[in-house]
Order: sequence, then C-alpha cells, then structure tokens
Amino acid sequence: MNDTTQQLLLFGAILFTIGMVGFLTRRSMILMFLSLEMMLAGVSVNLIAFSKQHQNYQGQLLAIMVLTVAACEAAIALAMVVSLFRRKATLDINAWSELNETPGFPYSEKPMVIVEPSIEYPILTPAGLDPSKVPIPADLGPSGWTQTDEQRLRDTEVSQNA
Amino acid sequence: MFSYPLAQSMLDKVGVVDWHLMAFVCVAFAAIGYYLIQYGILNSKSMLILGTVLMLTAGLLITVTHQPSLDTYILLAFCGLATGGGIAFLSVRQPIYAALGFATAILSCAGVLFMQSALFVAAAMMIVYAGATIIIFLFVLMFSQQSSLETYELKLNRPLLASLIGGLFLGILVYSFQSIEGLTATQWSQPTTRPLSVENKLATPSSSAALGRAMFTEYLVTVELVGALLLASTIGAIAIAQRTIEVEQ
Repeated sequence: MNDTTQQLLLFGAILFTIGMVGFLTRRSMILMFLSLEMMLAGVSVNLIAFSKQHQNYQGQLLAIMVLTVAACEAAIALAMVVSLFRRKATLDINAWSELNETPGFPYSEKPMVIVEPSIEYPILTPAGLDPSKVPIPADLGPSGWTQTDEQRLRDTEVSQNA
Repeated sequence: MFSYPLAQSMLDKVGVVDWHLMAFVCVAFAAIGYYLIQYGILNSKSMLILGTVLMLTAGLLITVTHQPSLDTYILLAFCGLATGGGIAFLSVRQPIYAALGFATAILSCAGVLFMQSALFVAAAMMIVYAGATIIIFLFVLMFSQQSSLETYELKLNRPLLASLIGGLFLGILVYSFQSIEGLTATQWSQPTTRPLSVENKLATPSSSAALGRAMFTEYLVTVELVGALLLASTIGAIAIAQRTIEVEQ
C-alpha cells in the first residue's frame, strides 16, 4: 500500500469517527443527521483512495452510489424532522425517549413510575329492611307468613321511622 | 517454538502492529474529544488561534523534514482543514456554526477527492452536500430555531462514553490498516505497478467521460437501482412530511 493511500485511509477513519462521536453526543436531530452525512463522507474518501490505488472506476462508482444514498437519506431525514417537530415542538431527540427499549436502563434520566390505579367502589344508599333486626319471611317456614308477623313487621317499621 | 503455522502467522501479524501508536491514538482521541465536547474549548478565541498556529507549525515541520511534492502538500492541507472543520463541528454549540464547520469539512473533503483525481465525484459532492444539504438544513434550522440556545444543545448526551467509543474505534481502524500493510504488502503493491494505459489515467480531463462510459455500460444495473432508490425516497419523503388533513364532520 503506498503512502498516500494510507494517509487517506487514516483521514477517512478520522472523519468517520468524528461523525460517530457527533451522532452519539448531539441531541439536536438536525445535527445528528449532519453527523451521519459526515460518516458517509469518510466512507467515500476511502472508496476514492482505493479507486486511485487500483486505477479503475469501481471505487468512484461506489462513491457516486454513496452520494445518492446520502441524498435520499437527507430527504427522508428532513421529512422526519419536520413531522417530528410538528408533534412535540422541539428538536430534542430525548423527547422521543419513550421509544426506548427498557425504562430501567441505568442511564435513563427519568425512571418510570408505575401508578397503581385505586379502585373506588360506589357508595349505595341503604334501602329495605335490616335482616338482623327483622326476621326474613322465608326463614319462618312454609306457613310462616301470618297475620301476626305482618302486624309485627308494620310495628317495627313504625318504630324505626319514629 | 510454535509449530503451528497459523499461530506463527498470527504472531507475525501482531509483531507488525505498533501497539504504542494504537494505544496513544485511542487515549489521546478520547481525552481530546471529551474536553472539546464537554467544555467547548473552541469557543475561546485563544484556543482557536493556538490550534491554527499548531496546524501551521505541523505543516512547516512536514515541509522541512519530508519535503513532499506540491500535490502531497495540498492533499495534506485539505486533510487538515477537513479535520479542523470536523472538530469545530463537534465542539461548537450553536447549530449554525456547527453547520458551517460541517460545510468546511465537506468542502475540504471534496478538495481531497479532487486531488485524488476523482473530478466528477468531487463536483457532485460539492453540489449535493454543500449546495443542497447544507442549505436545506439551514432552512430547517431557521424555521425551528428559537432565539436563545436550548438546553438540548448545551447539555450533550454522555460525551465521555461517546469519546471513549470513538477513540477505541479509531484505534481499531489504525490497527487494521497496519495489519493490512504488513500482511499483504506485495499483494497491494501489485495494481499500482501496472503501467498506466491511456484508458486508466484517472487524472486526465476526459476521465469523467470514461467514468460515464463505465457507468452506463458496465454498471448500468447499479444506476437503475440507485434511480429506483431515489424515486422511492422521494415518494417516502412526500408521504412522511405531508400534513394530516383534519376531516370536518
């Protein structure tokens, strides 16, 4: 490998690394996509260096393909940025952190709080007779419902109301 | 000592690698990257002047010691300028300045490609990146930017971890380049010793014509595939960015 090719490989590696670190650190979505473009630029520098090394056009063709893919990616990325900005009115990528894999990841800023729903039963107004005070007619037997029972029931009702 | 040829060849491969250089690159890149990203040293003008003076000194040293040809010198200057633009892109907090650093890096990158006699690719790179991408990104920035800096531009995502990963990655790449050179030196030097025919002279002005001829004869399927990809991405971008129409009932 000749000298220039090795220098250019190193240069492409540096560009790729700068793009990668920028992608990992930046939180603004636009700058993240710019970092992606810088990574692609490093790749195409490598391709051109190998094209010069081998003295043919395959590397240049691949670089043109990389350029086209970068243009496609820029179009899709801008559309995504516009639609995401319309949703939450911020470019912060952490605003979409609910798409994360696990909420318990040790670096996550906000731990997820699970709120248990408290069940509230309806409060009913008491109605009818209290069976602990008034004998239930079914307990009195088949012929238990007599005139005196009805009279006594009426008496207890009256006493309760009074 | 080792009777196995595979182990012997692996030992030979390890012996070629300059481990010290690799470790130095890893640690230095991680440390410098962390301080640049975390504290934004480039914001102070004295550090900017110091960096420029360092670059000029390195250029002078290279000139004195190695005495490179003018081509190599211009190539190295473009490489340094692109790296400086990338560092500015990493360490500046204002998104407009970061986009300008990106433009510097990409234009210098196109210069590098030009010096590597890839004329058409360099021109296309300038048009696509600097002409289209940067301008559109600046438009989006202008539309969405508030008057002051937001917290998400000041407080970054785990810069120490990211710069460590970057340093490790760069070290692994340097390692692999050196092992390539050590293992297959004769193999790599084979194509360069091939005499240049008129067809293969990449730097001539007609090289773009030859590239186009190769593109539309040998690699036509590639061109068709890339065209299909462009069409699909156009449709996708329109579909994604479309404002949802609220139907009144």
